Amino acid sequence: MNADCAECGAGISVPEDAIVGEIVSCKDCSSEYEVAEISSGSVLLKPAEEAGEDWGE
Amino acid sequence: MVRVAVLGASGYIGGELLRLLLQHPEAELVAATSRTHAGEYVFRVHPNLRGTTELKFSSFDGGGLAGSADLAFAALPHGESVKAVPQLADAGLKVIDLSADFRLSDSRMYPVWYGYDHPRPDLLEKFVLSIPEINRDKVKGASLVSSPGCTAITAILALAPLLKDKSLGVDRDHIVVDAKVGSSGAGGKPSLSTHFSERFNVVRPYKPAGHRHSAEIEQVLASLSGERVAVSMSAHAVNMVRGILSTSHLFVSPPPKPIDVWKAYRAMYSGSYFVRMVRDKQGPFRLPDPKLVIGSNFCDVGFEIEERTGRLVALSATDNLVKGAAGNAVQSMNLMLGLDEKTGLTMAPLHPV
Repeated sequence: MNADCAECGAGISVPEDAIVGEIVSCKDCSSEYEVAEISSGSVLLKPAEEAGEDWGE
Repeated sequence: MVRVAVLGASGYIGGELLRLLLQHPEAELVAATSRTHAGEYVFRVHPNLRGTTELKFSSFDGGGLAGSADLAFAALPHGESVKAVPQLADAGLKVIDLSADFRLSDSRMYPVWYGYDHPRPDLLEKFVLSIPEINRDKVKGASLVSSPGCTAITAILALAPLLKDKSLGVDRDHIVVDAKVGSSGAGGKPSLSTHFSERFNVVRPYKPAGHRHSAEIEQVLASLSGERVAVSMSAHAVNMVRGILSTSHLFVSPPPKPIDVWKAYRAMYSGSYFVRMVRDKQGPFRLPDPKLVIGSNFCDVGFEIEERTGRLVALSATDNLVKGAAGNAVQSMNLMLGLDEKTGLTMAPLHPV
């Protein structure tokens, strides 16, 4: 199953046996998505929660 | 096999050319010239090459090279190359020049940026300034090629897609390039400013205004965008031996979305092995860093957007001696010879370094 990364537009390949709640990431920009819905061979992703990083500087 | 010679082979760029050409599967290194080291083994000056070659430096002999080499790399100082290269070009050799002497297409720019009148303006129009990721079709089949300055090519690779894609609406009159450069960018000749005690730990602004590479950057970007482009550049010497980080500031109103900037970069660089997009959401290296390209021909490119001020920050990192000089020149040679442009250049960067 395929989806597009909302951040950079790259294609994201989601395993056929993925389940709702699974986390997938974009190969190009590492944005993480949660599998929100699977129906009839298509997949809907939503952004996964992420912690910000400021390197303490 | 193509027979290649390196002129000015005792400098850092010359040494890097030797390192790359000695392991190139389609190149036979037939001569390495040096005025000051003629007769010495190459590895006495470039000790990293011990065990890889028995070649000795020789004096420059334009007539002799015309019979023994097919292609020459000129890694001579600015102002010296223009004296040697015409002999080789006139004799029919393919030439790749790494000095500034054949980079600017308009001879009137030489007194402005380099302080001398160009003695062979007729040759300028025959040289192709080679940045394969931008003009590989022109480099293929060219006989005379010049390779850009290290800070210039690093900045250009980050900026070019943003100027070419007019839908982004970049302000072409206000582009600021800030480059941090390692010590090898100053060449192999020692001076007080490169003495360890004076150079170590510096963050030294060495050309905050009027940097010569501005001319090359403007020339390439204007050619891509079809309009005049004004580039202001500042360079700083920092505590690295190799490497350049170029941070360029562009102003865009309204600011673009990240996905539109990604599209602009992909439109130019998809299929270009040596440009890697780095704009990662994870890990310590989320944007380009010279630390991750050292020893390789890669240029890492990334960006960030400051919506509040309409600023688009374009970042790029190279090893100044590889993609910034010798690697880009060998990549250009590959294209001129009809080879895969990656030939002999696919080494991964060192890490950690």
